[in-house]
Amino acid sequence: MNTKFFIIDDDSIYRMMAELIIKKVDANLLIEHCENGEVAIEKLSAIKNTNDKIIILLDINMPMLDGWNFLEDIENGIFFELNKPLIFIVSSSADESDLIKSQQYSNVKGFLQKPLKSQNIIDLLPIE
Amino acid sequence: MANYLDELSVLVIEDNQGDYVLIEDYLLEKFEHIKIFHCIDFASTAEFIQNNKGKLSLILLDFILPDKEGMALVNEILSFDLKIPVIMLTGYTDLGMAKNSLQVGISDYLIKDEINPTILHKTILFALNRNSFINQIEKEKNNYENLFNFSPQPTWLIDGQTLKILHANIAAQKKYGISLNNFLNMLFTALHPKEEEEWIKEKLILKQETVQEKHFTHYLFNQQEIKVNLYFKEININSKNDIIIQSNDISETLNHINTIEIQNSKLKNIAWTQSHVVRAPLARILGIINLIEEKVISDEELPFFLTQLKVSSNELDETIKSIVEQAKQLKL
Repeated sequence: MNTKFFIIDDDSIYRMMAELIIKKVDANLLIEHCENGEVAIEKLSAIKNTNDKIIILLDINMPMLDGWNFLEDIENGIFFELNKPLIFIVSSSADESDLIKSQQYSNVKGFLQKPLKSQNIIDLLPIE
Repeated sequence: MANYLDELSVLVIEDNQGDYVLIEDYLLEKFEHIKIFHCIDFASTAEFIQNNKGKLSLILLDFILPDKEGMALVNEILSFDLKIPVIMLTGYTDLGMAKNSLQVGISDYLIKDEINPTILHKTILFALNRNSFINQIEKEKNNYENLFNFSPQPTWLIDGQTLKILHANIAAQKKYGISLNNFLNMLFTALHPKEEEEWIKEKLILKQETVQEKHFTHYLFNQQEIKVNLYFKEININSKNDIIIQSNDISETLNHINTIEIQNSKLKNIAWTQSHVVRAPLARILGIINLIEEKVISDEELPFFLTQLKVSSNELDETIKSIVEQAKQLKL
């Protein structure tokens, strides 16, 4: 079983840095770049029946479908056929209200602050 | 009561010299300090009263004088409006009329054949006492009217059943630009917009006196709208239930609150920007430094990330400048 990371963020530099970090932890980890929630939904729909472990690193503040809307869609069961994706909110925000709001969603397994460090990735990998 | 005994001045209006002497004797017997004046007909009485207004404490009045008698005499004496007790002196034959005169404002009557010093003394003291209470009530009524009229708060008296305006104080007339006469032709509900009429009617008729939880709209004469809090209380006047209402213009307060809310949202916006927009390039800068520290970046990639470092630093600089600008525009 493969582990696949979905990096959902409108900032391409950030995605590039996240990829470098993840690859450093384990070069075998798979990575998908999504510049917004819509793209992520499309890509996730395409692999509805996958057996892979899906880890989503989700930025909350994005144009188009933002992080919160994306969470609503996931929560409303659009991906019922998919193994439950593990979602980690990644935010540049130091705003506590974002953290509290994110805890309302059952798919959300954690809240990470930018910048990502390799230790973050090492810590979240064992989470089921 | 002691003060009546100190300085009592009584006018006895009596044409029968024998009766007068008797009464004078009784008075002198019971009252230590008393001035007694004597008139024998209406004409001299009228003249005496004109010249001695405010000096008299009480009048004893014979029912029949040579130049005027009966109710006509009573009415003439009362029309001097002296605010002192007038006690009738009467025979058995005029008893009916004496009783009638009580209704128009005579304090009491005495039947001549039954008068003795004790009865006269007691009657006078009772009449003086009762009169002082009546005067006190009159004064208080006057005080309350002044309190009503000179209150700086617009205040109305309205009928508890029909909600017709019965009185409006000076502040109400000034504030609303509506004359007392116009107010008197209005229902209180007419001050409210149509959609509030039923609501205020219900509140007033059901006597829900705590209407402060929400404010009402009132129209001034020029249709200008103000927001008001209303306070009212049921009061009983002549065994009729009326309502006294005060309005408090809170338009300005509401405006202030509104202004503060707008400012709050501006401040929140700045705080949000702080949290998100400033942190974004900063996080990227820290991320790149982190990559360099963790030796993730190859030598070939380094120039690219250094450029990114510069781009992000400039972005951060711009963001901070714009926050300073926003804070400047916020008028606190």
